[in-house]
Amino acid sequence: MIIIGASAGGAKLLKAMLAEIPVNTRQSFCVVLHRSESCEQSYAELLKDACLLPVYEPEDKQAVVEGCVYIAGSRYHLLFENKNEFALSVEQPICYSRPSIDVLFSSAARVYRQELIAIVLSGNNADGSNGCKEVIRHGGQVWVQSPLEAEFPVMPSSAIDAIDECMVLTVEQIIKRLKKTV
Amino acid sequence: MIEDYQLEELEVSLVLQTLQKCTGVDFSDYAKSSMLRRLTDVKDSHGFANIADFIVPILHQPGFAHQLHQALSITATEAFRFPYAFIQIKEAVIPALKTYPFVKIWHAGCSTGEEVYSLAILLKEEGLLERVQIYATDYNETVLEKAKQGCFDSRDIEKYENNYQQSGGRLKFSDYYHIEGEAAFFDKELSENVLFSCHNLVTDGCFGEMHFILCRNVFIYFNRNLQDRVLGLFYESLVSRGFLCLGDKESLAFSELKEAFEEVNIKARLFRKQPVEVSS
Repeated sequence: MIIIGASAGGAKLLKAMLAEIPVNTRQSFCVVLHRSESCEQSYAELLKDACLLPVYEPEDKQAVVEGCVYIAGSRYHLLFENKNEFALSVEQPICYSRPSIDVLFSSAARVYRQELIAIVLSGNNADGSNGCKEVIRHGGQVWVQSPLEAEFPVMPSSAIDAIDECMVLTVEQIIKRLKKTV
Repeated sequence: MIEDYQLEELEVSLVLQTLQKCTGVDFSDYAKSSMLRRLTDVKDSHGFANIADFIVPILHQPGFAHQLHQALSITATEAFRFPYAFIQIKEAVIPALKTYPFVKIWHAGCSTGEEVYSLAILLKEEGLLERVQIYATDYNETVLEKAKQGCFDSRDIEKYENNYQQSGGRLKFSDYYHIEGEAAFFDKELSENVLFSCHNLVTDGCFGEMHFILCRNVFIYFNRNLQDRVLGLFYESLVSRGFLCLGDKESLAFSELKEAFEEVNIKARLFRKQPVEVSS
């Protein structure tokens, strides 16, 4: 499982990354992208045209299937109940964000453990840092976009500061590595 | 060696078993992912190091078990949440309700009540409020008390005004509340026909003869077993052709009872009980 957190400046990077993923991959991707709640377009529509894989906004208890992209819809936190099933929650926003990257990352961390790669992209707040800690604690990997390259460096910098072990990469390097794992 | 995640699972399971012994409430059919988050939050607020630290106070500190049970409910709500649903209620449910001389509505899991007052506003604007009895229930007594008072955070006013307008409100949201300090209060008139009471969907029974049941964003915290059971409770509590509204990402798809409901509007998660066959 590959989980991705992105905020300001992250949407176009996300599209560029997912565009490179071949349709026959056995990996799945799960994304939290911070956006304004008032944004009319659905999150899934935002990514649909950009990638070859099917894109879904998970509903309550939706099944997790390989070779798909899942993106957290607006107004709900997205969690993994287990390896087969998503869960949702409307508990309070974290860093003003619901969906929150921390919530997704923390639940994925204990469900997927060593089989997890968490990627943090450009963004202007610290959401995701606590989630990255959990990913590391449970044996997963964290890849962070280089703050030098990121349009908004706060989110990647906070993630790097929060954990001892992570790979700091350019988006180009992230894409190269992703292609090897899928 | 036992790994971190296994240890956490074990701790959660032990705490919930202990809590069940002391409160009689079975937590085993709650969704595990959100339950772990709740327990972790409450643990942090108590300054406990581990989830297992709940066990001794549950057993030995008077009132603690009850207090923890209350703290496990997720209380986030808002006025006219997901306004599209209110448009659909107005278009599809209200005309049917108008055909009854007296209408009973059950708002299950009402939390701090913002949605109950939203519904009351809609009913008032449709000229139906006076012949409606709303039963607003939750198992959390603290939020029920707040709901009774009808108060909400005045910082939410702008958002609620937006939601209200998007839901097709006929006036202004500000026509329905007044401000006292940092709190805003819904007009008393809205809650005259509302009975706020304590009811636990996990342990308590049928409410009887409802024309419309709203239960939004409660099912997401239940596993399929419990969803199925509570749906059965709603089925029993609805009149023939009664309506049910769930949260906008909740579903009946996994339930054995899904055939017993027809979809009225799937985006608004609005369903209607199929006619009950009368056996001859």
